[in-house]
Amino acid sequence: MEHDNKILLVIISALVIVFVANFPASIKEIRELASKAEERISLTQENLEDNSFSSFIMKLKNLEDRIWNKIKGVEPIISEKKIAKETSNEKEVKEEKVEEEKEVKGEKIFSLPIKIVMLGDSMIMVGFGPNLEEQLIEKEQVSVFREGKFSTGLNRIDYFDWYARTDELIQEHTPDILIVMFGANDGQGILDENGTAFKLSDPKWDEVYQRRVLNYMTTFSSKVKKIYWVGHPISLSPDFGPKFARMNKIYQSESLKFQNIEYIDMWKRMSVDGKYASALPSKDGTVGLVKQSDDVHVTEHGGKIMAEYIMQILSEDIDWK
Amino acid sequence: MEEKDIVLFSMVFPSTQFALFFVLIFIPAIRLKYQPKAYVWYILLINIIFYSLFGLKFLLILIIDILVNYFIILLQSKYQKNKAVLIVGLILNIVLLGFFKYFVFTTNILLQAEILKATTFIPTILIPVGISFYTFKVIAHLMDTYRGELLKPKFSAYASYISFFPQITSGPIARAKEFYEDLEAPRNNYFNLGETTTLVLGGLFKKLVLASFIFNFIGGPFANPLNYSSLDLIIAAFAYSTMLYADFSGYSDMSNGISNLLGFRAPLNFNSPYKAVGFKDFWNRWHISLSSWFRDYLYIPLGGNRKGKLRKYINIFITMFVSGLWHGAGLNYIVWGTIHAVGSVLSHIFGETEYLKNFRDKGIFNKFLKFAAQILTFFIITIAWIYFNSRNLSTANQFVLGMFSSDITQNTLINWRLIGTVIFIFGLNYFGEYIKYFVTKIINHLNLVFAVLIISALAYIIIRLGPDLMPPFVYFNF
Repeated sequence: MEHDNKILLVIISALVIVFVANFPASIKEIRELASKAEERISLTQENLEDNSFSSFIMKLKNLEDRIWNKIKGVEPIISEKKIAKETSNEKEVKEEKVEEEKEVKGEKIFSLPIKIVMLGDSMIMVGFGPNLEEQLIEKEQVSVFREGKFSTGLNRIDYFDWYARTDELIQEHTPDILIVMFGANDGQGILDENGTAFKLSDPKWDEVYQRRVLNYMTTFSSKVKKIYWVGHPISLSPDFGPKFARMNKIYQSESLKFQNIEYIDMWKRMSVDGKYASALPSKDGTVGLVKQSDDVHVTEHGGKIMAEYIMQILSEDIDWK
Repeated sequence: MEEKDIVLFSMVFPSTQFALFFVLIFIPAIRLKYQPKAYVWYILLINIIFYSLFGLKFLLILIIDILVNYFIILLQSKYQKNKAVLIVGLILNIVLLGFFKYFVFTTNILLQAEILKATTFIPTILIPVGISFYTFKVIAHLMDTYRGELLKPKFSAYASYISFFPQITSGPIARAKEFYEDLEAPRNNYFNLGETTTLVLGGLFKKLVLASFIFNFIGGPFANPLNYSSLDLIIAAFAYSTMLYADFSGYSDMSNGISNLLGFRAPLNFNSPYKAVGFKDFWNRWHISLSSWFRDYLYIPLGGNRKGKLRKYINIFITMFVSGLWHGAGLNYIVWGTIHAVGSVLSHIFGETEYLKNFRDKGIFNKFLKFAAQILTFFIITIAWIYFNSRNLSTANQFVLGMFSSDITQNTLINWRLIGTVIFIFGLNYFGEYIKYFVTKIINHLNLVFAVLIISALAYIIIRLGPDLMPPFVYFNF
């Protein structure tokens, strides 16, 4: 028993020490959270009030964070197709082409070469994301960068900040097109700009989430040629189905405010006459289950069908040649 | 995903939630350990609380599973050595496991054969967390009872064993006999403070820092290998081999450390697997509790080595092939299982053929050759892992072919941290035991205050070196 007590003491002491050592970081996160929704991109640590002792501690902590990040290295590249034969001359030609692009409906908006960044939650990581990337890279002169993060979205930006990350990715890859899919993890309580929490059941939740979406669209629609916003496929899950319908409505209505944002109605595509379909045929006629057991993620087959649909929409805008 | 899955991921071992959960359950356990009658119910209670956090539906399935199988054990003890009872029990469990694991695969076949119409409503089926691992325990128990190696246990002990929380999600698959012995005669610990700390913190380091770091790099190449250069694919393949080892052995170490603190023996699950010379040796070192399960409950019942050499090789092939099928229903898993099946048969032939025996014994098979054989084994196993981790067979083939020739010339995975981490994990595979020994020795020699400080510092460093977002455990999928 003495041995167990000793171990218990060690565990509790270690937990307390680790918690205390991390405490300023937790405080910093709580303080930042309220302002994140509206000012994600411009916010820097220096913007925070710095007239208190806690602020000093936070600065030290920030310094420590930077040291750890330095040790861990920068965000690694997950996936990128290189245009292997692209020369600097070709790059110039490409830039000229972009200048000449005609954004008239009915004509192709983009000519090759073209850069695409795909980002979002686990839907981008498994099933849908890899299939779309696969179909895109089959095309000549298309470079694709795909980054997905489990359990993330536009709600819990305290957990993972897609506003900041999108900005980094745009700076890093200068894409022509952004394909995004968020929301599977967003159906939970949300904080507004003042730090007030709203439950999902509160009608004001929609307003706050709408502002998050609008903020994202406003920030990034000016930085790329076009954004394709992928809506959620139909779901029978009593948990997710109603949330997805609510969020899709928001994505659709907000995207209408921008000329260069297109909402992709995946709900409709993955249903038959508006009704849930367990199995669907892909382009080659193969029929298979489209949803994984959680009724949120799609199977490989479901991902292929979603990707084929996006390719069909992209074909209206891109002259693949 | 969303609230439910946030809870799910939060209750994995490397989380604050789990640390707090463990402290809360460990305090009463210290006293109750010495009252076996109360302790067994206490273990059962915390198992139920832990498992219920994954979802009440899963808990219900687990409870029904335990009740049904305990009833079968009662029948077994009444009608001893009754094959019919055993077969009914085995069929029930295999059907249950098969239903959950192969539902999508089978449904797709039925859809493609047009036996099921596309318009048919097919419900989505959630796979209960850890169903493979607790079903393996159940099957082992049924067979051990039939063989007379286990007496009828008390219900509380049986239910505690099947649902034992440190092992339910991803193993190791502990044996009932040892578990019952520990339950009836609780003792302090099998390991001292240094050993326990090394197991838990070492496991945390392997999972949280090393495996999580590599995870960031390999998603792309395995999803779309055509997008990567040959060198990238080679790096990604070796990175995955080392990541899987760090991920799974790290989990097993943490699980064993926790089991030990609760007074239960911890089965060794990994023993420097990439030191293996041949496939036979590999499976004696990798996921040992699973491979010994397949040996005892599939290979030996098939006849083992008792029916001649040819039959033995066939039995080895079948065992490895079934192991492949258990991991997944796709063709890529079948290829993975076949590589291991062929490799294991060849390893046995190599080890048993008189000519080769002499060849080895004559000393030609010296240290250098042994090392070369280790490297060759590691290479082949790495190729096999590509099939294990790919989305499907064609992607796996693209990956393997891409390692030799790719249209992409620009490399993106030449990252010294990644390569350094891969080499470090490979080094751990060789020298991990020495490191463990020294760290254990240092911690055991410290007085309590210094031990607390050192352990806290190590825990803090591991947490800070870990990722902001923790990837899921690989073996949660099985």
